[in-house]
Amino acid sequence: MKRVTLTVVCSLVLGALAFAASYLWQKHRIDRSHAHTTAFEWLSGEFGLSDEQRARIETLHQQYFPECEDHCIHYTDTRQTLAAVTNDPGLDNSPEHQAAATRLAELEKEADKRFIDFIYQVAAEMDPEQSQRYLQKMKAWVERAGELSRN
Amino acid sequence: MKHEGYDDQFEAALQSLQGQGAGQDLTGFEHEVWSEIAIRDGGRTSAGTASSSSLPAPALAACVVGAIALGSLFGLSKAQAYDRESSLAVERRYVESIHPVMMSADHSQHVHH
Repeated sequence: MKRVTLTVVCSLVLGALAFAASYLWQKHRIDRSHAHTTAFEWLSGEFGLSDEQRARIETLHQQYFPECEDHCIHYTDTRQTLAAVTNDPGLDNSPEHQAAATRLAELEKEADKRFIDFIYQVAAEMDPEQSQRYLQKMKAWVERAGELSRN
Repeated sequence: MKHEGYDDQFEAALQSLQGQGAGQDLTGFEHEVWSEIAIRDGGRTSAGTASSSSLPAPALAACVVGAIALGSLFGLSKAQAYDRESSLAVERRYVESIHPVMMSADHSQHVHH
């Protein structure tokens, strides 16, 4: 009976060791590959871009980044203004409060529109199948961005 | 049938002799016979115990191989889940670079941390 118990315990220990070894080995490989992957490299790898597609899409991104950053700064400023107005009891329901809230909502809509326009431009450079997959993935983030702005 | 009779008599004699205890006077011959019986009986008992408590070699090998295979399989499946999470984190980084609202959330996270 003792030997059967010992066999079971040894098997469990071996199983746990095999689990740890295979998981840590794979995790190390994944961490190493993702640590050195830029967002654009991820895009190229994930959607199997050819060199030509990659070059054209990279140009699109470079043209879009300054516009996106400007919009981001504008959005952040408006959000901070709204937070300041909201925290001021004297400005509760004031025209400033209404204006900041309206402006923020407009900027969110505009951000989504710019984002969608841009992803369609990028998708147009991809192979049809990859293009659909890219659009599907990116559109899912629009909802998440909406949730993020509400928090 | 004859053998069963002998066996019964032997068992009865054995019990009666064992009942007399170690302190009883035994002749040298009886002592030798009992010693011999004790040695053989002990050997048979320990061999029986060993064979019933140990697993046959193929079963033992199957246990070890099965445990290693299952452990590795669980490890690889957990690593696959980790890969999906990491991939999603890189995807998020990409989206944060092209969506103004997501970018602003990323910036504010950097400011707060």
